Amino acid sequence: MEVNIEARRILAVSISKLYASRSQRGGLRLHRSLLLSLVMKSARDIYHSSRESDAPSEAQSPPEEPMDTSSSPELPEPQPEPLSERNSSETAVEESDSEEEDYESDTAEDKENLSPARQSRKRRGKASAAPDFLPNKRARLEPGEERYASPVASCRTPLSDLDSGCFVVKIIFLLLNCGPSNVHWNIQVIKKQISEPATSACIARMLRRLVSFIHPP
Amino acid sequence: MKCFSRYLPYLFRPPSTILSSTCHTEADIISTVEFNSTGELLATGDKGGRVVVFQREQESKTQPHRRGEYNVYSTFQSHEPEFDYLKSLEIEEKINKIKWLPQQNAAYFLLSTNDKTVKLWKISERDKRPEGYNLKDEDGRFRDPSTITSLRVPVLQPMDLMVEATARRVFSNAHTYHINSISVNSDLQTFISTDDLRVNLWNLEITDRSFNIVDIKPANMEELTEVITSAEFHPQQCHTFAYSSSKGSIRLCDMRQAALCDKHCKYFEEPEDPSTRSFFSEIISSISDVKFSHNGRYLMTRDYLTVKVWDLQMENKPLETYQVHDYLRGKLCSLYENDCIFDKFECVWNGSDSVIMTGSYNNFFRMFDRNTKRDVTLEASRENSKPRAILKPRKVCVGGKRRKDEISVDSLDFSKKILHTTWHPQENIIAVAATNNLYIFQDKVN
Repeated sequence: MEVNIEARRILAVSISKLYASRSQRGGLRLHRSLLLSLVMKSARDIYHSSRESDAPSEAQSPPEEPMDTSSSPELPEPQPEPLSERNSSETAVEESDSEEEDYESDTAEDKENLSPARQSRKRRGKASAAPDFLPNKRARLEPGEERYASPVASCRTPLSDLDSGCFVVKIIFLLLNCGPSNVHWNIQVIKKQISEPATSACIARMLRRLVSFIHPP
Repeated sequence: MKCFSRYLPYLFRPPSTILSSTCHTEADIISTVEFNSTGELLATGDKGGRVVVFQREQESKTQPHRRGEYNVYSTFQSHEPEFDYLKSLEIEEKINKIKWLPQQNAAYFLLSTNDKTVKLWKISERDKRPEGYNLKDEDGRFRDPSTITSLRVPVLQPMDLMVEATARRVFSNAHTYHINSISVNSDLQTFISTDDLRVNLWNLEITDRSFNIVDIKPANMEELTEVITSAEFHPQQCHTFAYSSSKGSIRLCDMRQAALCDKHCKYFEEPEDPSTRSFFSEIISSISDVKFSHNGRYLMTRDYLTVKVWDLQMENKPLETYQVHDYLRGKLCSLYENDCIFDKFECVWNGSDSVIMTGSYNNFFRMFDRNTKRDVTLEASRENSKPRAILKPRKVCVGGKRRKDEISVDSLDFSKKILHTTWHPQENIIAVAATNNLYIFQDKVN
């Protein structure tokens, strides 16, 4: 259990470091991003193996499920369900790597491989990076809304992990090829979702997506 | 204004003067130090893109105690911050590495690099200037032709010594990723520049073209598992170079085998000890520096906790392993949180390859004598050292009862780190960079 908590904590620290490194002077450092992703992978592996040894009877759930207001709140555990397979085995660091690659002029050898994240900009497939409950079109920033407002005040389900869950989800959205202009509406949608009654299930779903981005073993 | 103080450790004894300054900005943080091949010059690069070159004083019979002190010789702005508009990225001006070229005439040449661009600088002295121009007056303005009645030839008159630095070559636009090292070939005609995924070979005369000799970029970036952390040419064999990786391995390559040296001819790696496995095993096994010994028979590598000496003839394990600060092994989690675990320490050989040196935290640096197997921890700090004093060895208490002079692991200051050190090629003179201060230690044998 302690290993579990430690693994989660390291995972959260790693994600925040990855997020912070985006605004670092000089751009993303490939070496550092790689090391962070390796730590995240270790933490994820250890977390899942300890969870599997704790609760081997948990059933697999399908990756896409409708918002279910009657489902019991599974928070504060941020990863309540076992992972589901995803087409794109994306990690956050490779997202950032692929961003670095976006403008590469190396065409001598066609070593450039369009990553699924890049493909998702052109066509939304199963490997789409953005969660499917977000609108297809970009919404404009509503007047009066803060740019990076935290959704604390409008939360109806006072769970202690709720804020951290939203924060973590926000980070993942930011990491997934969301340019600065996308960030506002992503966060607005999160806020809107939270103010609805079916908050906890929605958050649980978002957090499952978080987990699945750190691709399953 | 940087400051440098000179002391002597227990092997070394200090000269007299200490210069100091109190101002300290981010730009003053020293990011690289390097002696030239004779040890006469010492170059430092900082985060602000400046290079400061120190020169050793000539021996003087009238002031024997001042023999061999280093004074500022030249200061120049090597790199400026740039902006890559295509990628919306700022390119830092921080000097990552400086490498000297051996002296071939009166001028000195060095290569300095930031994340993207390598520059060749010529540092030359001017102690004469032409005076008595025919068409110009002393201010340099052209004279009225009607006032010129006679013909005269300018003559060279002595002037105050002026040291000027000029950028002779700029090697740019060859690296997508951040340059971590440069190395001059023993042929003195080529050099390599290395970034996270590629090694490029340049000719010193040609700036618009470079050859890619190592490329470890995977076809699919999602499959990336390791990056190149450092590369160096062999000191004598102009066809051999080595590069280290973030996985803790070193590859030796021979440029005669193929144009693209992706296939190594030697591969040095020590299998991981499974009992020490942790979340951070990959980070601490990443090699931060690789250096050939002067005799070309050994390789030294530095990872987060150890320094290893490898025999080029033995690939499966290092010849020697030295623990730099093993007491940090239990603190890796906090070092990860405060980012210290990502610090890249350098390592250096002495001139005879008998002693190796590397830095640590709390402004400590460590020396290991390979023959006697003795090691010492010294501290670069103004408070603890006075001129002509002998530096006291320091000790870190790892547990149990702390002795009087020892310092406990929890009291270590992790913001004071010595990442960059260099050793004079022939004598026992070392330069140690502690944040924005440069300490030069000399050995004076009476």
